[in-house]
Amino acid sequence: MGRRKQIVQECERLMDKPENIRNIAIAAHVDHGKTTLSDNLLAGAGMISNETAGQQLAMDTKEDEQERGITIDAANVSMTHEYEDTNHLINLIDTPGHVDFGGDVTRAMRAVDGALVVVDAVEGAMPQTETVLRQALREGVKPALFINKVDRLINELQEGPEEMQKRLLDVISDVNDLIRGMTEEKDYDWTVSVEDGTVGFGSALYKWGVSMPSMQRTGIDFGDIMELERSGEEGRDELQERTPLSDVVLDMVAEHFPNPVDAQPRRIPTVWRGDDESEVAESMRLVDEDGEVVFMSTDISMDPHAGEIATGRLFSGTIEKGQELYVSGTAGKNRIQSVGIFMGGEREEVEKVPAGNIAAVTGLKDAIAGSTVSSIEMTPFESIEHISEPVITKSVEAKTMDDLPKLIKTLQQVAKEDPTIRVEINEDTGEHLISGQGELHLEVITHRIRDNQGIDVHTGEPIVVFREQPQEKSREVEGVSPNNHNKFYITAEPLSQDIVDAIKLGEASMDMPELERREALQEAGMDKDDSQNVEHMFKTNILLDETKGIQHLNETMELVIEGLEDALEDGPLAAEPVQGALFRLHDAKLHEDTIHRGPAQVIPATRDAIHRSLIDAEVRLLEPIQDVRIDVPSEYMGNASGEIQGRRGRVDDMYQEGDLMVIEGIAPVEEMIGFSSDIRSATEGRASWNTENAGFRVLVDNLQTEQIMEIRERKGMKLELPPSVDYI
Amino acid sequence: MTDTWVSLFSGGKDSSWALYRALEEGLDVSRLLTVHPSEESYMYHVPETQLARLAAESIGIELVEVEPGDLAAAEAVDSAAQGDAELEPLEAALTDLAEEVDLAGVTAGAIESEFQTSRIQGMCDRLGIDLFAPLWQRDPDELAAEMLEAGFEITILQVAAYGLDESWLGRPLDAEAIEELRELNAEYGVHLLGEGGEFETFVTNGPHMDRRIDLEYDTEWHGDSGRIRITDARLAE
Ligand SMILES: Nc1nc2c(ncn2[C@@H]2O[C@H](COP(=O)(O)OP(=O)(O)O)[C@@H](O)[C@H]2O)c(=O)[nH]1
Ligand SMILES: [Mg+2]
Repeated sequence: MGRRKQIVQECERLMDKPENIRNIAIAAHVDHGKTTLSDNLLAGAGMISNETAGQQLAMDTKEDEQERGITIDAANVSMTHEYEDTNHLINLIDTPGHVDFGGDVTRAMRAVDGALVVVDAVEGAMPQTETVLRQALREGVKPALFINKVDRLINELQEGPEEMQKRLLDVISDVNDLIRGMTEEKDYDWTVSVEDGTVGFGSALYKWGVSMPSMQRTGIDFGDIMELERSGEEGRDELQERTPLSDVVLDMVAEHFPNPVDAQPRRIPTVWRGDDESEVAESMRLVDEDGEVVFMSTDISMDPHAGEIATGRLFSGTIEKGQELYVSGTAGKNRIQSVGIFMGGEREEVEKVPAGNIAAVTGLKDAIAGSTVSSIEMTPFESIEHISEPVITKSVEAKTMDDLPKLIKTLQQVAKEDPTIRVEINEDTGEHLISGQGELHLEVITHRIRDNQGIDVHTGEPIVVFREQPQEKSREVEGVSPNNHNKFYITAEPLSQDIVDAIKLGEASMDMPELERREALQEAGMDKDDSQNVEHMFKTNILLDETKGIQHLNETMELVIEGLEDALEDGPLAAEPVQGALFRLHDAKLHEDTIHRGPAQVIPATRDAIHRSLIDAEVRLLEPIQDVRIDVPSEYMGNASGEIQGRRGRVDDMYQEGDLMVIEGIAPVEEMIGFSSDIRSATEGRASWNTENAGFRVLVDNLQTEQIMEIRERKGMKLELPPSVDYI
Repeated sequence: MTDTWVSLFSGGKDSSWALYRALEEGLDVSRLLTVHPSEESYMYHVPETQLARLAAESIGIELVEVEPGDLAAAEAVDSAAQGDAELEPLEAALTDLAEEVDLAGVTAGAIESEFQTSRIQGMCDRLGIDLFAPLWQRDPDELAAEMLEAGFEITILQVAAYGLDESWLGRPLDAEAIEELRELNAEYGVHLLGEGGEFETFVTNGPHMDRRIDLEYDTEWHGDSGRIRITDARLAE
């Protein structure tokens, strides 16, 4: 029997023992070494040969990932590891590090219970370290720390023992500050420490690692490491032999990460809002393999042979071929065609997968990343939070007519696989739009369309996505239905940032019980009365119903909401989405006859009122901005900071870190298009840089009109600003 | 005279269809009754009620016109009270007519409007006459097909609904238009036959008419509704 086959069998044996399962993710800032580390673990488990680990990048399965050397999709792999005489099944998800792919990281976190955060010893905690930690902690996923590239401290930076110790402790304390800040309200302490064994150190490239327990076991201390690391290849080989990275890390995983039985009772309430006294809640807490099937898909991928594969976490029950399962948000059921687990980029079919595991199934044709799939109809899981919304759009057009249907299909598939991508299909013009997290994100998608699907496409210039937001409180305005028989009286005002944040974090939503929502909104600073009047929430906007006893309003509210949503999808300035607005419905006049207050009357009347109120509330165009960090040798500092300032940006901080200067600032996304090549030539390729979407900011007044007209022209809208409003 | 019917008639497709069906059923319709409303009427067709005269001439049935005076619908707060007030002149006119003829009932073109139908039914009950409402609760799709099948030629006079733009003014309500309305119905909920005042029509020709009516008009558009202004209307030679 082949080695691989043996592992599969061993995995199957272990799947039934939730106590011995660890579902984990490895997450890090880009280039800190996730993929290299994952390969080490695979090699350690005998999945790939030890020699190739570190070069093979088995986790980077898609061709474009290997070409670019970045990880794009969260890939999945299962392996076994013996710790304290017990064999463990470790289901591992590798997550992308580039900010453009943030959505994948969040989704991966839903499937796991522990996150190994990898930090480069030289660079320390970086912006995305913070982002991935936040994503983990928000999902109730327990962190542990691995400080990587310690070989560089020894060989490149030639640090002595004290310097090195100080640097490592600084990294730990930075990471703990982050963890503490993010778990303030929790009753557990998830900070990491060397003494507890929740911190490991090492070199993924040279495949050695240590932790407090490993040092006690092997007798190898930092002194030995420095000596061996310095004595060239032979020393490294010895290190790798005597204290292999994979053992140290996998021991840490087995010892410190919770198994599903420990984790699910804590995680279920944070990711699911259903009735906690129901039977299904109980079987999810117990990880009951005999309970109803409850599966959450966290990733959808396409396999040329098997078709669409849904990967995700099975919280309860046992999933097997032939089952007919509900998919949240769709009618009817899907039939499971096959069930499998991942071994390196490949899927191995197995008979069945029980609760507590990560499964990869086919047949769920209606599922998207984030769907709840279950054997009974149930409250779906909380939608997976995306920290950043799409900020950039590109048009894609097939060059030949023959490719048209295939392109549409591919785009639909892309949208299904990656919810942070938004796709707008326009069959009339053939010019489709894809929106994503950044220039690179879209580049990767178009690359896939071209190379993987072989569709020859034209792509337009990237276009930045804007927002519209009121700046002050409006007067009361009227919206009238076309037939004049229905009238709505509405005001608009900006929502406070705290409330917007609470909505974005999912702390307040229409999906939760009313009382809970009220409390969350009050907590975020909303007036008590207001919180009781909340009628609807759409994106980060809220509608309050302040009317009393208006006849027929209840049955008309659905249409009012439709009109509201319409109006907010296409704001009054440039048909860009509205954000952070509070609307109050003060009064309404409705025709008594249902037929006179149908959708074609009420929707435009509400839409009209919402737009008028926004205009009177001084609605402005907002543009997306990014935090920018550049690490550069000091002689290029002037050039590098010039690249930020020259882009309507602002430099906030400059400081020395090691032998490099760090420049931190912000700049509009629009101006950041093409930054990559400009900064390279400005610094002769010596700068490393990182951007992170930082929300939207009001565009300066003197650019408003010009920008609005530019968007209106692009969208084929009338080239005039909406007329000011007649007030009540 | 015995058993005479009165057709509540505007010249629009629905009241015309009710009349046509009544004639087909052999009812003796001896009067067309039209109410000239003020602006903003809740219950009656506002545009171009004058057209009713030409239609009556073409149909060959005597027209009775009711001038209700100022109903002040524009300031109406309560639409129910308003609807009742509008009914008064109509009821008065019918009471007068009943002295002249042996009134059996009225025909009306309501399809889905409870508001309109229940009030007219109430009036009929008070007068002790019947209501003939052959469109009531019929499937709009089928009705549209029947009207076109029968040879009704219909022009759109006025639109007031999301999704209906200026291009609909003066447009014939033919099979193509119905098809488009079907799409607008799916997208915006526009009523296929314009119930609820979403569009108003005028029948320019039909099996019950002797001569076609030719229209000349300008269009007027405000915001999200509009109407045509008839500049000339005459019976074709
Ligand atoms: N010197 C050194 N280089 C490393 C180490 N781990 C990874 N690298 C290198 O860092 C780069 C990024 O590694 P990768 O695993 O792709 O990072 P990821 O973006 O986090 O997946 C690659 O060039 C690796 O060879 C390490 O421990 N020491
Ligand atoms: Mg990688």
